[in-house]
Amino acid sequence: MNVITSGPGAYDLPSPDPLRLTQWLGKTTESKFIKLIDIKKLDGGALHENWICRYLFGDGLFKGEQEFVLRMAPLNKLPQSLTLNQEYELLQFLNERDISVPRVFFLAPPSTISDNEVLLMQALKGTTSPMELLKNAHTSESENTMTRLLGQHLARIHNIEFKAGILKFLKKPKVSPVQQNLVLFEKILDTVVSPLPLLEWAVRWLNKNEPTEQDIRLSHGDLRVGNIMFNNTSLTGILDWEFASWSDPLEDIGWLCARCWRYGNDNKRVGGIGELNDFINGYDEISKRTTNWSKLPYWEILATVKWALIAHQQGQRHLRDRKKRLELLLTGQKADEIEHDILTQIKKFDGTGHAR
Amino acid sequence: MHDKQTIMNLLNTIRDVLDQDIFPNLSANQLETAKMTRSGLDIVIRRLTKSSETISDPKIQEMPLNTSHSFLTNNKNSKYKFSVHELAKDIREGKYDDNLLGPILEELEEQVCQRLELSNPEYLSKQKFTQPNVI
Repeated sequence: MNVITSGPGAYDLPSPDPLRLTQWLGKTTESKFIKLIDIKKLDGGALHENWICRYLFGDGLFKGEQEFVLRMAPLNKLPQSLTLNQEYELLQFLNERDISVPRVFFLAPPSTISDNEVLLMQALKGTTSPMELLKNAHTSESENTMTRLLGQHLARIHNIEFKAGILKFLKKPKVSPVQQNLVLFEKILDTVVSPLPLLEWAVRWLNKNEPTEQDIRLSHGDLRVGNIMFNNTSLTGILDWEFASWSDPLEDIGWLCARCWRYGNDNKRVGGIGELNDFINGYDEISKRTTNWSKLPYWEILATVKWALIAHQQGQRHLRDRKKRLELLLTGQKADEIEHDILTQIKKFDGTGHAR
Repeated sequence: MHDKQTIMNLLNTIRDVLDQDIFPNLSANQLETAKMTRSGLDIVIRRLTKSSETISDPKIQEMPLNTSHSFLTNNKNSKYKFSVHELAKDIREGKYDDNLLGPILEELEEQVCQRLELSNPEYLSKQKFTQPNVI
């Protein structure tokens, strides 16, 4: 086996070890000639580390150049996130149903490429960078196209109904999706270092104003700009499914539209990219169900509370993790801004569903 | 060196060196990381400026930097005289459920505004989130 493990970025690779990666990949793909051309860490992802690597295969399962994304689980994963094994199974399931997600190739067991499991999947074309996507949506035509596509893709995911026997690791909620969230929120509140009265209050408000109608569909759980890949204005993939669950479809849409995920482009309600009406047109065109859009502001508030709690968790992770990461600490500080936004949203809420 | 003023001078000097000598020579990627570092430094400087205590005060030394909530454990200026612990407990137990948009709202707003004065005072006037978001 001809193994070459040098390449830009390899020098600062904590894990996976390029040599172990190349040897494992050579064996798994039954390739006698395999050459690592390039490997580098991808931006973003405070939880999982994602790396992109390009290989040249002489023979075996792949021939010629092949790119992979390596997805590596964090040492301290959040309790609500899926394992890489579960994510692998979910991506296979979605691929079979023509949902735009990366193809998954292999799941390397612990102690092969790295100490933990590593997921190897297709490298899709395009970008997830929020700033680039906001730039791509600079004309009303491109903005309309991207937002409509987002609506259509999300509706395809939400057309997947709960059925006994599928995706067994995703438990059907025993309570309503809102209550399921509120139970989780209180658990998080019980684990953070300092008491958070504003978030306790927001949880009580969410409980009191819970929508009477809720549905149960497959939910991505972290669907926002940053986890959606576009190649110019074409949507090429929906990524990072670690928080998937069965929930009300408006949970995903509320998360996508919450002001904290508009990357500063606040007047474009759908992820800072486009208008809600374009999204609704795309969504309703594909959806097999009727959505009560007047409930969206409620779910945007729930999303903001969730993000505030995650921000506190991230700040706390900074204290726990061996490797100190400034971005985690600053995310903890950011929670103050998000909490203020929760107050503002609740004060404006009148239950009619008017866009802010 | 344990004197608060000396530490403030040191931090301000570090900030000036970053701004004048280091930032202008960085690549775009490095600049993003440097801005993050600068943002953390600003929080520390604001915390020290707001505090009337010296750095040797164990209460300040023990403040967890992941959140500014501990700074307000007892909000002495609040007209409601709540401790953050008691308030959180009372809210959880449903004490305010009948009037969630009543005076409790004013108290919570006062608390979050005080914390923002430390973590990001600009938010109070512009209501713009710090970017980028990291998850």
